Amino acid sequence: MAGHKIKLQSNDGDIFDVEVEIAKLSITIKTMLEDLSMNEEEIIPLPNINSAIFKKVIQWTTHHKDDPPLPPEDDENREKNTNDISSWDQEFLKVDQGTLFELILAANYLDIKGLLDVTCTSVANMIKGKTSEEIRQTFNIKNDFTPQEEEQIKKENEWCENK
Amino acid sequence: MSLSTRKKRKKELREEYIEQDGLIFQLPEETLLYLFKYLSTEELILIAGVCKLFRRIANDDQLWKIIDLTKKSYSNRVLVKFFRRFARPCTTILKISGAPNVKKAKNSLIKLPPYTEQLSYFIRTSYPNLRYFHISKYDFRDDSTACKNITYLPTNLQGLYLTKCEMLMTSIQGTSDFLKIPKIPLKGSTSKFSLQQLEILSFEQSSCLGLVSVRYLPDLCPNLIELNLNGCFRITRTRTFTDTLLSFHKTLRRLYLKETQVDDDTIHCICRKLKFLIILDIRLCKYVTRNVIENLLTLKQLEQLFADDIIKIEYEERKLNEKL
Repeated sequence: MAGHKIKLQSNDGDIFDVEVEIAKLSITIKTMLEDLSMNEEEIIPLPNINSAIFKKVIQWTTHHKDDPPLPPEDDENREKNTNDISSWDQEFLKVDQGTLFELILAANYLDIKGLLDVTCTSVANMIKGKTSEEIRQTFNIKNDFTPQEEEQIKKENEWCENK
Repeated sequence: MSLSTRKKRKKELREEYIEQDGLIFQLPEETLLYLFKYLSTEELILIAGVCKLFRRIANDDQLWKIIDLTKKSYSNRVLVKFFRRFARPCTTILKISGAPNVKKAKNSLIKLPPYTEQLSYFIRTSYPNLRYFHISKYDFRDDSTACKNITYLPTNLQGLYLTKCEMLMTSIQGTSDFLKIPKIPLKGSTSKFSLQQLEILSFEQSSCLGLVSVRYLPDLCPNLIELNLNGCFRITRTRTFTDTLLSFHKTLRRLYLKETQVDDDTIHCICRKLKFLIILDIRLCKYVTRNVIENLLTLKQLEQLFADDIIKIEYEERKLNEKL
């Protein structure tokens, strides 16, 4: 049924009317609808997601609703390709770090593999090509190692520099 | 420890503890772990040196199941250093490459490094549970430091991928072939060496692989499920080669022969004896003609045929007709 909608509620109380087909891109919601055979008139609460983030999630799922399903996770082909973020997604992910991490949490909770992939790839790209100190600066991380640990790390990193 | 020293120690610990308030720490550990799966081995090592939490997560066994060192090519010396420093019992897949994966300039042959005994030694000791080993662009021919033969590899492998490697051809000097098992049993073992658990063997693009070497396979790895000889153009139609293939009739399911010089006869024998085949690749085999279609149709369990259009199209049509 195209255009058929369900009601989803964010943790700050806003209610969103979302097309079933789009909402079902979230495996969590899909399971709720199918396995728990929830009444479609009922409002489904999403206790872990605020309105701002949920809007972003709906924006993403609406754009990607016709994507072919992702191949199942295969341990041997775990190798993730970290370069291919579509230009639409790149534009979509031009957000501050806080929002990006909240999107990851939301994608994880809602179980939307495509969104989780693209957000994680985006963070991974922020790590790539940087030194440890640059990574600390990027994510506001404090160096909390003891001198003994520092010694060990120095040895490990020496390998990386050893080209 | 007295109470006061204990208190003092506790206070010290508290002082050592540095609270992290970066936004990335909002993510639960399992999510960070998932995120780190997007990083290469080199990047994992680097991120393990950022902070305590990252260090713990980056060293999680899950992230070290596969070690892929083929993004760059490292010298043997650097690789040995890596294997010694990052020994991991959890690693099951290891990939190494002897030369960079660049489109090489015209006429410039890159000299491949030898696969040395030293490399082999540290791989065996550092990764005792290795199951799939990808060795790309190495030279297995005679060199004073090179492994004499295959007995130097881990013995419990399930998959061995020797791709784009230089393999020894028949040698007039009587030098030994890498795949040839020495007659004398190894020290400390009474039985003859063999890779009983090996299911997948690939020589893809190792174009120098000769028929003589292939002859050793039935003894070496009697339980092959997949054999990949794509791009091994020295593989020709001979009785020995066919016999070698047929010796795997009880197990072989996937056979790749792209660009080899097998002919209609070879395919005929394959179709008669290798009844478990589900994948067969005979693309760009110049001596295979459309006469094999009849034979191919007798392979009822075949799921995927890779062949040139002249064979493939008619095969698919007739297969469809048979079904109707």
